[in-house]
Amino acid sequence: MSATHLELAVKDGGESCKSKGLRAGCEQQPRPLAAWLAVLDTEGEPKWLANARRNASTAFAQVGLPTRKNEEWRYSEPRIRGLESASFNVTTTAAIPAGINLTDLGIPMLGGRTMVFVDGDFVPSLSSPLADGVQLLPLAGALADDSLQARLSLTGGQETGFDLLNTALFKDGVLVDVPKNVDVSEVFHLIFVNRIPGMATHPRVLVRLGANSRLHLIESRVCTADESLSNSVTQLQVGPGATLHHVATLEGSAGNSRQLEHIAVSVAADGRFRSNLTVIGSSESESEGPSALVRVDLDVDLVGEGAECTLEGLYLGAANDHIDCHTRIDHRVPCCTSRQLYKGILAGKAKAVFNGKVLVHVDAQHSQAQQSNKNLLLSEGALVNTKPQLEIWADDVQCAHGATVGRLDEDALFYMQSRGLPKTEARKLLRVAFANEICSGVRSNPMRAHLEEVLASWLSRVDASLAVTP
Amino acid sequence: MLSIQNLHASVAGTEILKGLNLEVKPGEVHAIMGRNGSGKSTLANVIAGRSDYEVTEGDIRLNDKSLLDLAPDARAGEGIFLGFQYPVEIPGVKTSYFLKAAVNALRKYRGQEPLDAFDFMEILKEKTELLELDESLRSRSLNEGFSGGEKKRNEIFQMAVLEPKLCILDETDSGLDIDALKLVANGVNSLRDGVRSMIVITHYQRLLDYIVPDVVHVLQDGRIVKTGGPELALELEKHGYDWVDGGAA
Amino acid sequence: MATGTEIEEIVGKDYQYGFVTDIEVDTVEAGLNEDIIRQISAIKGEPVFLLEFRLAAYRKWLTMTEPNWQNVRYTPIDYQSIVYYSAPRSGPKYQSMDEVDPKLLETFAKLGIPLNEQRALAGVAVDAVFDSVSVATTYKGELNKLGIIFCSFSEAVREHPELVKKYLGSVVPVADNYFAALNAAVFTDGSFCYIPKGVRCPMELSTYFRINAANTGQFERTLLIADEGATVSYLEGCTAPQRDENQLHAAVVELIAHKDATIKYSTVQNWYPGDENGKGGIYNFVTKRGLCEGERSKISWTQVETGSAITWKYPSCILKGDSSVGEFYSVAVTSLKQQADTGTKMIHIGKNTKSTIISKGISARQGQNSYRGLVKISKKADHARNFSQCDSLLIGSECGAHTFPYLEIQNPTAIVEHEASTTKIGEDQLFYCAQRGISAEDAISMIVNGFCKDVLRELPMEFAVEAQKLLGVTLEGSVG
Repeated sequence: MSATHLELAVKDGGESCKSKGLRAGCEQQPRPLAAWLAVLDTEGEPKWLANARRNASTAFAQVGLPTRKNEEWRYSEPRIRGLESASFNVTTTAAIPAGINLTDLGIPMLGGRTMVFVDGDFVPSLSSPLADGVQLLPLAGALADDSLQARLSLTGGQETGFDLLNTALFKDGVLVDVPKNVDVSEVFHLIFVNRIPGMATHPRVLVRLGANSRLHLIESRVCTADESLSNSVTQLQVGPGATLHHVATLEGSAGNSRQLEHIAVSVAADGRFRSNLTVIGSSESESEGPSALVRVDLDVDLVGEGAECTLEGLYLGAANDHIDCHTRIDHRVPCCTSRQLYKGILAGKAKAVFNGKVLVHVDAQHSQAQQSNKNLLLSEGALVNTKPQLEIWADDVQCAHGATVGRLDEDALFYMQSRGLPKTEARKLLRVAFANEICSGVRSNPMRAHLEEVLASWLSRVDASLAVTP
Repeated sequence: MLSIQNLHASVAGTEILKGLNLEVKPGEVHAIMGRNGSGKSTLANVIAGRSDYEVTEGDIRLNDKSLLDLAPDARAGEGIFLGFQYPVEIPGVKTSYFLKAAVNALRKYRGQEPLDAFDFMEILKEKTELLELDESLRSRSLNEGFSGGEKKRNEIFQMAVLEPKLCILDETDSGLDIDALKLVANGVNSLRDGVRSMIVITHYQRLLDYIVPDVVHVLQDGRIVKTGGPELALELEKHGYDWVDGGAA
Repeated sequence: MATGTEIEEIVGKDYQYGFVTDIEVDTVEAGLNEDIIRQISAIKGEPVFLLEFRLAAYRKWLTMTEPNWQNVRYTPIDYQSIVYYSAPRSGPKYQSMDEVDPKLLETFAKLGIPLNEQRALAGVAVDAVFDSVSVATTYKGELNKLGIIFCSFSEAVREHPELVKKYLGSVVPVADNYFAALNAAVFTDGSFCYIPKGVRCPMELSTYFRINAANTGQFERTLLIADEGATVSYLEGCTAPQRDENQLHAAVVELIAHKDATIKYSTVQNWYPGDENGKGGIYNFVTKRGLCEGERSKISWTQVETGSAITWKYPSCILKGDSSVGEFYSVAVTSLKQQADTGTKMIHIGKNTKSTIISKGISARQGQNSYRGLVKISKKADHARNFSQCDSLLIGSECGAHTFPYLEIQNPTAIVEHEASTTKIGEDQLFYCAQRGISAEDAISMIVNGFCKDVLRELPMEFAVEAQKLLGVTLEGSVG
């Protein structure tokens, strides 16, 4: 996200607000999150949902937002401290500009089915839902169906305050339902753009793949709004023998913005889940003042024998970015396989956390788990905390993990130099190669091309700013 | 040497061997051929005493002593050697150390004094030369990071050092290229001394070009359905296992 | 306790050069408050600074809560029911070896423990043949000539208060953690060692320690200083299973290595692990930390932990001096219902500092084994390097292995590598060995020793041999 794009987007929104005037909701004053819970408006909603929201609200009153004492939130805590009392708006005061240009926002056009949300609101003009057999719908319109109640509940771990907030306050989101044996040929592309400062959005995405079906799902999330909160929950159910390829990108470096995404996945017997996650932060090496938090919690429950998951991730941070990537894989039954490769490049004063947990439960024999985390630190002041964990309660398992932090391979650098490449060029090449290992796993050609471009431009901008820093 | 009568054996409740008979005389080399799933590897494991294989009927006797009540290490003590299809890796344990432990365990079983380190190294050296092996093999951790060919040669090396009475080679040729196969076969042939018996289990004829057997058996559905001389293997190669089906019917 | 006094006279003779002998009371009353602490300090005739140290620690302790983040479970400890001071040597429990649990004797025999030591360890009355006094004195003379101070903590307080005052609490501050604070408040004795500039300690400080310092009590304090250019290898513990009635052991060890000094600290811990049902056994909550104060200093921890019901310890290195080196080699075995949460912290502060972590965890039966380690590379620690390897071996299906490494890297020139793996001793491996004539028991011991050899070779020779046997004995019968 370049500075120009950011200005464009904000100006765009601002103008349309002026031109169309304020909507009724505009008088609403920003309120702290807890205060929004207190005035929870469930009028017109089905009873089950109103109950679910009230329960979540009550639970939130007890749990609150995670604190330092919560081991999983230890490192993120400084960026969410005091968030309860910070004030947010939950409805847009600005109308969505009809001609919002997604390309200008750095979102690739992939040519499949698209669902676009701007500041939490569904934009029908840019979206192409489906309701025939395979469903791709705005969640808000589908809530009359009380069978969604079960799908809304988060299993696998205790719900955090953020999960509860989402359940209590989500306005809209996406519902995807793929019946059994359906191989969806089109790519589904979910786009979430946050542009208005001081907004809090809580999008909810529910995806279910029936037995032996297949889907390629891409999520693009872009945040250019200062002081905003995006708190999304995405639930992916992969049925027996089904295959889900999930690609997610999160871009965000707006001042004091916080983007949190909790992705909860369950994979049934012989199901395949493949995740490619890219987090792109700032590209300036130096920056003043407070900065963004991007945090992704990816929890995968392998609940059927023969289930497999492959998680690949890349995080790029600079300036004062704080990027937290948490993965948790539960091997609950025998004969499941998990593979993880997360890579990070950090510059400026960026701080990244990789916290990967693999749990092999009692009786989950013949589990295979591989986990690897590799990091490059480009500048003084950048830091990374990595914590790859294995918790093994079964004995017949093959598990390994590794983590490295370091610089580029000096031998490779020298080798390339000896073949005539200037050192800076060689370094650049090696960095691109380092990160490309993740991008190359993305199967959608336009998406992969887009990510490679984003990566290359991020690296060259970081390089340029490193060059001017003494 | 080895006498198997009406052997029935099952794994996890499924009967695999269904009344198998086999007589191997001293010095003889028998080949056992058969399709995948015919019970070849089961036979090898049952003779060696693997615990997850249950003998439900019949007997296995070595030099007229029943093996059935003996633990695998005791069977090794009696002189059984199994060359594994998939030799196991044991990280951190050097091959030479492992072999010394094995040699002395076998000597103890037979009421012999343990070998001292010096005598043992002599034997290792001699066998290494006999099999034209790389010296470094024995100082590496047992099978760890070995190529397929190295693992199989290491099996033959162990066979040479342990000097068993009856060797069972379970698909020793699987996964080997022709050069590795020749090396392994040469090793095996150098251990044929007119007294030691061998059972060579294989799916293909090609190993038998290099290790020429005295007797060839065809195993099918847990029973030996055909027995003949080396020419039987060639017939099988030519006509495939369906030919046996026809013949047996 | 007539015989008890006699024995105390004989065994207690090693206290003639220092230990406070004018003990009027054998024990103070149970419980903990400032009066008890003052009483302990008075009994020991301590200088004011030490009493203040204790009181400061106690006051901090009152404000602290028992840690609960470690991956172990135990019934709460009642700190007010513990007797915080008793005579350093309680009398013998038995009059002859015939009364000792034959299982224990069997273990001694397997480990090859000399008879006299067996008696001491089992708590049998020891006769005058047990010549620890003269042995100890001989060593002491030799060490004295080199200017090496090696004595009980109490003696050090009396004879070298300036050294104690300077270094006590300098590496593990009084309020470092709950158990360290408790130790600082109530520790009764321990060991003190000072190696002067440029001196290479000519012997492993092992035999001496083993005879002299067995049974030092539950709140032990060790302070070891290697001055510039000094070298020392220190062995703690004992390979024999010590029967100890104390439930809680909260020891503190502080090491200081000055410029160019090297300290090697080896531990073999085999406290009573409790029975098959998890009844009894020691809670071993120990704080061990070394400070590499000077340039090119080096601290190396080696531990073989096979005992205790619960082990909670993280021998650590603060690598402050430029080019200093920290090492941690560990084998932790949990069998029966034992739980271990152990590992290390390597804090890199100086430039070009290096650390190595090799941890081998073995879990059998219902044992739970956790590795927990921190590698921190601070902002100023240019060109720091760390390599960590944490492997777990599982034997049986009811045990568990857990790895919690924390890598906190704040310097772009750092190179940090962490590798971990979990494997099991499989039926395949055992069958393979059996087929070659090797029994399951021998196969396990061979595989375990192979698994641990990177750590065992760091132990001094005689210790390594005992440790190997110990592993075998600990894991005996773990495969049906």
